[in-house]
Amino acid sequence: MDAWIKAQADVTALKKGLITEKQLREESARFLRILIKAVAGGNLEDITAPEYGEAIKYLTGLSASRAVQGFSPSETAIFIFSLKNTVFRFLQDEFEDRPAELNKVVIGFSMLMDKLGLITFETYVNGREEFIREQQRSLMELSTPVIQVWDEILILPLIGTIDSARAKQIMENLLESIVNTKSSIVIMDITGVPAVDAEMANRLLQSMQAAKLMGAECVLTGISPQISKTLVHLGVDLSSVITRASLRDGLDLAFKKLKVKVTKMEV
Amino acid sequence: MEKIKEVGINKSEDVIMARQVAREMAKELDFGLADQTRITAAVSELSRNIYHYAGTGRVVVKVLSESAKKGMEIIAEDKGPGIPDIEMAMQDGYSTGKGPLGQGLPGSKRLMDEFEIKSEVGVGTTVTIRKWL
Amino acid sequence: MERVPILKMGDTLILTIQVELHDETALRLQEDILEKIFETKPQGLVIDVSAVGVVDSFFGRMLSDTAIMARTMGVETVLVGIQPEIAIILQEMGLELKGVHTALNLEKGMALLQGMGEVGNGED
Repeated sequence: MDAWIKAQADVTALKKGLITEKQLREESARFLRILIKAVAGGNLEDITAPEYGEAIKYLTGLSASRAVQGFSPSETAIFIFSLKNTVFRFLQDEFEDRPAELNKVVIGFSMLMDKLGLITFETYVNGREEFIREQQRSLMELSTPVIQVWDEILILPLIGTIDSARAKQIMENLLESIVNTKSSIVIMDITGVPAVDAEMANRLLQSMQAAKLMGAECVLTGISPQISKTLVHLGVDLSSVITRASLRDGLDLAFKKLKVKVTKMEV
Repeated sequence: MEKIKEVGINKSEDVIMARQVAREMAKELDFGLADQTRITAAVSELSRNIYHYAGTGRVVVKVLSESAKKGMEIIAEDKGPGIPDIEMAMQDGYSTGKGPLGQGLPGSKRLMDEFEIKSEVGVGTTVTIRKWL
Repeated sequence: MERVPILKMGDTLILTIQVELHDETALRLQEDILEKIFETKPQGLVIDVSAVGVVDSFFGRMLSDTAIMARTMGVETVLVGIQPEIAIILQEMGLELKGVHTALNLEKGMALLQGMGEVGNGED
């Protein structure tokens, strides 16, 4: 037991912040107890047998939570593989004068541990993927804000690339906001968009045309020389929207349309 | 919830009936408002095609559940004249800017996740569409 | 057959589509609108579609045709109250509503028509 913990600690020590030694000890002891119970029946081959149920359940839970805590795959897998080496050493001592038996036990145990190791890896990957999906979802919400900057003026600052899922989200957010704020002008700013392709441009156009159907005029701003060149080369037809080089110009235009005058206060 | 419903299309009011049935099912399945409307619009399009081109036919609306996935399937079938050139019927008039004429089939395809069409001249047309939750 | 009432308020014709229209009622409505325009000679036409829950290519074309017909009779059409999901579907299906102006609600639609009238009178 101590040897196993030490073997794990050598590696996981790197991530001391992620797990305390006490916690590691508890988890290890718990798993060892469950595993001993499972092996007691003499079955080293079929891990789908009922006696392994508890061990696998514990292992999947552990791997999944470690994946989310930020353990690397090897740090997660070491939990099982370090146990393998420790047990081998122990078996070597035990079966010192019975080499034939030693061989049999080692092979059996080795296969068992490999199977369990694969489980940790699989759950780890699934856990990671779930984690990534979760992040993508929240990133999607974060990345499509619609801001009301003035009565009846909405600004939609776009950053990064816009795939079809995000385009859908943008359109839905925008249209909802138009209803909620009773806005009549939408400024879509693409200063933060590094490059556009034809598909992305068409997605943005769709959003702007949908906004127009709801009675909001759209101004596309933040068009860099590079992007304006690309749009023309791609043959994207922007004639249905008003475009301006900078967000400032767009805002200025919006104020004019709403007959709002911004002046410096006289001091 | 009834898992399958059928609406016969014989008159123009039946088009409304078909889309009401589809919207009802989409709502019960917990589709969002935008998806409910997408499904209803596609059903409207397909059942109207039946009424216009074949005169009579039927629309079958089904709940789909495959292990983890849930969704809806709509089959619109008629024994009408059939479509001689499906490829042309599926062509998008959008880019040519000729207006909404003939936007029905490609339009409803875009609204759904899956779209299949089988048609034989003189035999009839079957369109199957699916949307997943 | 159910008919959609068309009201005249000042110089504007207003109608609200509240029932689901099937093909015949839709075409009937188009007919009624044109008749009423001919009869009352309004400045503009406002069609309130805020209660419309679904569109398809037929309905879109009917609206667009009606607006273009009204324009040939000297009347501009404003469609008000298009719901977000309807706007999304029009876009995704690639249905263009030619000839119509759009506004968020009835109030803004009336204001838009008023503005157009002023332009027409050369006051702007």
